[in-house]
Amino acid sequence: MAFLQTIPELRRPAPGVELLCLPEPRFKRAQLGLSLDLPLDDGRAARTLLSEVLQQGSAAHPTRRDLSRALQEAYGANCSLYADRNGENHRIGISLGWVGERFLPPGNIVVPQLLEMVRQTLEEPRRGKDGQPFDEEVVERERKLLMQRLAERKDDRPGYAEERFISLMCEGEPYGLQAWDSEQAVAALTADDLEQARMELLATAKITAVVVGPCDPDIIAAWLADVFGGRSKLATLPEIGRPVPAAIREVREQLPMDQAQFHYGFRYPEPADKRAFEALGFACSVLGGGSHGRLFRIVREQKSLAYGIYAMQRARKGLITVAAGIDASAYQEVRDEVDKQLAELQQNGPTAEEMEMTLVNRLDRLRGLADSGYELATYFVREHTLGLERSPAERAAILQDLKPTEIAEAARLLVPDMVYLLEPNADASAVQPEGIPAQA
Amino acid sequence: MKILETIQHDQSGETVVLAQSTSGTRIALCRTPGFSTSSGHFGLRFGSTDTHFRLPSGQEVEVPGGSAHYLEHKLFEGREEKVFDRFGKLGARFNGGTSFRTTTYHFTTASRFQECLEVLVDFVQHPLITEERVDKERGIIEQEVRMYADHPGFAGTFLLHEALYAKHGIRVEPGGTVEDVRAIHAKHLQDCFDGFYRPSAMCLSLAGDFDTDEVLAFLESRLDVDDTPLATKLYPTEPTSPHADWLERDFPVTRPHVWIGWRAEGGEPDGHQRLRTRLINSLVLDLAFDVSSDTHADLYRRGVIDDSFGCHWSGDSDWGHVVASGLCDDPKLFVTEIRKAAEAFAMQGPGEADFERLKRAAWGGLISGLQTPTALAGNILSSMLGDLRPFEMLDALAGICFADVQQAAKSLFHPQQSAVAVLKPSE
Repeated sequence: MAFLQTIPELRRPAPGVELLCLPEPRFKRAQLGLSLDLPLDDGRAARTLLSEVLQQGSAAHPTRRDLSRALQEAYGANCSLYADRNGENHRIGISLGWVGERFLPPGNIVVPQLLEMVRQTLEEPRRGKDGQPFDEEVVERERKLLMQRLAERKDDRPGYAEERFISLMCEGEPYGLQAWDSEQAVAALTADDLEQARMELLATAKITAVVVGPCDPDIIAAWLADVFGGRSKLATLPEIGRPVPAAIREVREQLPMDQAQFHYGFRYPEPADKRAFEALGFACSVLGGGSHGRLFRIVREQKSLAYGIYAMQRARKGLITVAAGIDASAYQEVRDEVDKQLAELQQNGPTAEEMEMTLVNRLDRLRGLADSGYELATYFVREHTLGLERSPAERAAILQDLKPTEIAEAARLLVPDMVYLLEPNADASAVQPEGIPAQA
Repeated sequence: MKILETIQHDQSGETVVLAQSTSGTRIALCRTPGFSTSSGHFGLRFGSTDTHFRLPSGQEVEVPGGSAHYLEHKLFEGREEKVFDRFGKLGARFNGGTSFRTTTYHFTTASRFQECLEVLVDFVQHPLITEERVDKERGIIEQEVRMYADHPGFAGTFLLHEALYAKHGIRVEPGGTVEDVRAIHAKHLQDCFDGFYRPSAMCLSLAGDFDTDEVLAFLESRLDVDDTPLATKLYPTEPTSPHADWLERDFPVTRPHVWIGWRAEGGEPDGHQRLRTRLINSLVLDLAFDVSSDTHADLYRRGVIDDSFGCHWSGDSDWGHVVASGLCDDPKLFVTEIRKAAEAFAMQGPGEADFERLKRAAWGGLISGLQTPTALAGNILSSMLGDLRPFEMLDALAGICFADVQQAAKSLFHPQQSAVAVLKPSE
């Protein structure tokens, strides 16, 4: 199969709104993703809680139950809002999905009603009594639940370890901030704060939309123009920072747990051009891009020290991070192996076999992404966000032309910043279940 | 090679050719014109609970928990060359999976389908299992088992299984315990392979933009010819009531995690009936506790449940139970409230309009899951391993009527059949 030669049509249906169009009639389900980005400023706690409160009902669908029923009526459509950090921005995301018309009974069209439902959720939320912008009971309940979820983050040990690693490595940078600000900030919010956050979000956020699957982009563009057409004052998003680490740092923290979580972070400067960017991704893949990666083959297959070990590129920030679940006693050995393999890659570049396996792996992903709405959308949103706008065919051509020396040169850009280990504390011990015999 | 049937499935819009090899391996081919990727899924009905069996020679064998999963790992070792390297050179995505009752192996490729297919059928049919090779994998599998050990959802699920069942194999996670993993030897894995990895037990599902005749001709020469009979699975007789009313375990969690289970009368040996039961019971659970239900709205508003709350049905040929789980401050209050709500729902019964709406939503969910060649091949293999026709879940769903869920709603939440598992904060 050939590589996709084109990039998606980009429309600008409203001020500060960009729409990437990926119509694809082969798919059974259509997806619309909306990303509303603002700086990671003091308003992020309010926007985070707002994303929860808005999902509790609108004027037209006053409860979450009513919203859920409307989605079910539309043949199992889905709609959700989330708040997260994205790069060094704060993002409120909206995901909408529905079954393509050709699979629905004749005469059934669900898109207009779903888009109207999203509009109502954003523009006409369920209001409180006596002119309150939101129902106080709903705000208090959602605040309490959000605070609980924040407190429970530790229960997911691998997720918590990654969060701690990123926030420690990028301390003092927006990338190290939490999407919800802090528990104290969430606790202090009022309904008026949420309303102000809602107004600011709709009026000023940079909006990126992507529609993929069996859907006419004209309908989405017209809807975006209708909802966001009147905007004039748009937020300016900050440039992302890429500080150079002065020296490698090591942090070890303890919690009761069984398996230690190992993270190793490297920084790199802005690549000179598209070719240098591709070489960096290639170097990351040679190091730990999957079962063909060096770390997997040595740390797992040769030394049996981990079930999985992977390297990941965080391209906007200029980070490559390595992660693995290991026995805490193997920490130094794993760390030394990462250092050794990276140094070897920096000095000699990939072997011929690594070049071949990494190339064929990356080309296969590029060929295959046209089959999945999620992968298509992810690929082109990333390209757009990075400002690269490369078609899969363009990337494939660069990849096939890369030389081992360029991979080594790219690997030499990596500067180690932080090694982090979340490990079991001394009193962690397995506790056997205690039972009460059944009465029957 | 025998072509058995061509199914043109209207609801999904897909066409599937069913065939059978000389030795009885069942094959399904789903053409997906215009798609870039192709996918192959190869598997059998042998899983983590199959630890006690009688070989065709008459010899009874007992293997440690986790043996099926260990064997899955060992197959990826290959004979002369690691499967990682073989697939790696082809650029394919690949993996395997072991559940309570099945083991599956799969790949997805956008360029070298036939070569990947050759690797798949070769490594699954022709392993080399030696003590040295088994030892080498032990550390990796221990780390995999320990990865799950820190996961409260995993720990709680298996604590509930311990409460619901006295002897059943689903009390133990598919990977086994660390102690199980340390007790597994080459002989155990060879016995499992010899007893179950027989051509007549294997199912192969392929999806992609390929030539069906060419693929079948290729497979004819690659699928083993062997009529050795299968081993016989021996399952313990399980008491009909839960083993324990309430089990607790200290665990490093912030708030208590609670699982409530209700056992059904037994499993469903017949695949079609098992599918129907799963669909009906899933609809009943949605009617009772989905976000769209009045019950959920009331419990959520009163703070009994939050977004961690969920319900599902789990069942196979010899087990079946409902699970409702969530985080809470007071496990006893949580259990009392959920049980009370379940019993009230069973008394009142579901509403017909709610049933129609949820059935429509379930259909949308099922059809949306049949998107990519990978998803199609995986879904069809699951059907084959469950003794079902491809996409039978869509047809079965269409055949479910309101009376079916009314009847199931009355019997699903029997108080005497319920058990509870709690992970208590240990910090």
